[in-house]
Amino acid sequence: MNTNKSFPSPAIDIVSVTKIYPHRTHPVTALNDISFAIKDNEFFTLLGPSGCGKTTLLRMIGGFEGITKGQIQLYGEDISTLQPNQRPINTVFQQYALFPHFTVFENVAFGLKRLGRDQAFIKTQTESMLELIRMAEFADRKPNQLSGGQQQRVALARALAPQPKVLLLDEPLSALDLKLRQAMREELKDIQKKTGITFIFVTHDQEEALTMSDRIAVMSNGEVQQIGTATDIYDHPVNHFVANFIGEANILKAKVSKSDKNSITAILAANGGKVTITSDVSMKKGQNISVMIRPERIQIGKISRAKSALNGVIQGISYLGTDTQLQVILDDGESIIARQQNSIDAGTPLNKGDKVSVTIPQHALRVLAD
Amino acid sequence: MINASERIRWYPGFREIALLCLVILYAPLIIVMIYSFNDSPSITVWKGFSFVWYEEVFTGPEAERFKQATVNSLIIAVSAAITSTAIATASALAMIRGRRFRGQAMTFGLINLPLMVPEIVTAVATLIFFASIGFDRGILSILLAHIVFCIPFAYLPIAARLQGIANVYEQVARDLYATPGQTFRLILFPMMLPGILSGFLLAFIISLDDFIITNFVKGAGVETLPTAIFGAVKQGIKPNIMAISTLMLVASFLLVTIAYFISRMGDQRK
Repeated sequence: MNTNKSFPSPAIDIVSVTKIYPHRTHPVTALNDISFAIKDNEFFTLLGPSGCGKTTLLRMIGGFEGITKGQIQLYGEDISTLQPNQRPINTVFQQYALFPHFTVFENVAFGLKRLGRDQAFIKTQTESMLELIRMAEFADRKPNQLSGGQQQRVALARALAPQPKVLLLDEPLSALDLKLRQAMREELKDIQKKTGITFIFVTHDQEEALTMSDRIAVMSNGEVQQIGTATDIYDHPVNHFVANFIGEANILKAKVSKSDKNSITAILAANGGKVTITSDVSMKKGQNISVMIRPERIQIGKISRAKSALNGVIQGISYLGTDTQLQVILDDGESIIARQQNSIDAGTPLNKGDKVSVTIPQHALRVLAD
Repeated sequence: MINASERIRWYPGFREIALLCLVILYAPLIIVMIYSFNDSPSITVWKGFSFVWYEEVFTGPEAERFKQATVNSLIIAVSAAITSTAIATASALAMIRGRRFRGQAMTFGLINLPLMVPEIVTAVATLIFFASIGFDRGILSILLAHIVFCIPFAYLPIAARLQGIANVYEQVARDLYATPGQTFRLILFPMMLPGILSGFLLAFIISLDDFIITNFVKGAGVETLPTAIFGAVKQGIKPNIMAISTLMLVASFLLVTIAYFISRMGDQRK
């Protein structure tokens, strides 16, 4: 993307970072020996449920939490012991926290003034930031005269104005309503491209993460579960947690019957059908494994004689607008979820209690680690 | 739908009780104000409207004494309010923004305890304290006593204000390259200011009208306005006392009004 500006070292390098909140009887491990690198000019997202440690990690990068063990590097330099005001990293906090006694202009100019930039530069830089967020005409307003979305944009401009090397965003969209949130996603992505600043975005909203990020780190229980692009994470989840947290997943039990270099042949517990799945992890013959398939990859039809199909009964139907979600109980008692698009030529509608055949395309199956 | 404030008017007797309370509270004050304009030395018989007692306050035989007492009262109230507000601000910062420390709950209790101790007990204790360390009683002893008992009054609005300021504002300032000192000066202090001002005004009023403690710790010949008024009343109530009372009432009313508008200004800023 921006190869001529590439740096020898990553923007942020997290090196075996551990965070333990001390307590007399119940010390809490918020982060457990985490290591990964965030590239220069990347839109990187930390995604996970609340309490997974994503915000703690963000606050550690910003300098608001101490590090129990390990190191955080910014372009190769250890910044672990620097105060927040000594790090060329700015944060957009979840609460916008605009300074109420300052105007919009003074809010945005705050960081530049503290850095001791000259008046002329402060003025042009602040004005260009207000231009960037399309708030130039609001420069003299006080924060309480702005709407939530406008306050959010000013908070963003305020953090961007000092031209930080890395911008941290702590669930900045969670307080906005749906329409505004969707619009802001586009805008954030756009601003990241325009400014070329590395963004580290924290969210628990998988849709937000999938639509905006160059790469995503899925976190849970103080550990990174998987790092990859949106497609990697949705299409090739490495374990149960990632499969279930990002989108919906059907997990089927199977037994390995043959393990090759690039593929595994397994027998589904549900109907004894044989499936071959691409996988570079080798398995022992006879080992029990879990295989995952996304609901929209499953095909549901009226009962058929085809051997590869599983048979079941429709237990529930939910209409979701663009899709219909079907809950099917398979003959062996396992329950799976399937989604069908509501197209005009969908054929005869299915009803609750209908006997159906469930076709699982082999190429859509994934092997999950536990 | 009917909201709670509408519904309460429906309780039988609510209006009557409310009116009775208002009358008991304000009727004596209104009578004092009216009779301060009475053209007669009587405090009960109305003889016509006049400013004669206000003239008496400023030019009469007791004028000098009241003037000196007012000056003393103002010096003490201003100094006590400034000092106690500074101490209260520092302790609010330590209690609310500082690290947790052992005995924090007890410290909170100690700061606010003077509000619950009967004033006469504080007065006697302070007198004994000054006597035992051989401290000369005069304007300084009054000032010290006032500073001490004004602290909890100044503390309450300041602490309430500080508690309402999320600490994310300070984090944002630190994040935007402000040192801890700049963060306090540029962000936290201006945001606390409405609370600090109402704390100051409350301390000022409390100091200005304190009688019991002042009366115990003042030296002979040193008077504040309340002790001077009490001294004058002992020789019989003359309408000039009503004139002074009315003046004090107006001054207090103005201050409270200012405090109200300041705190409202602060709320709007949020």
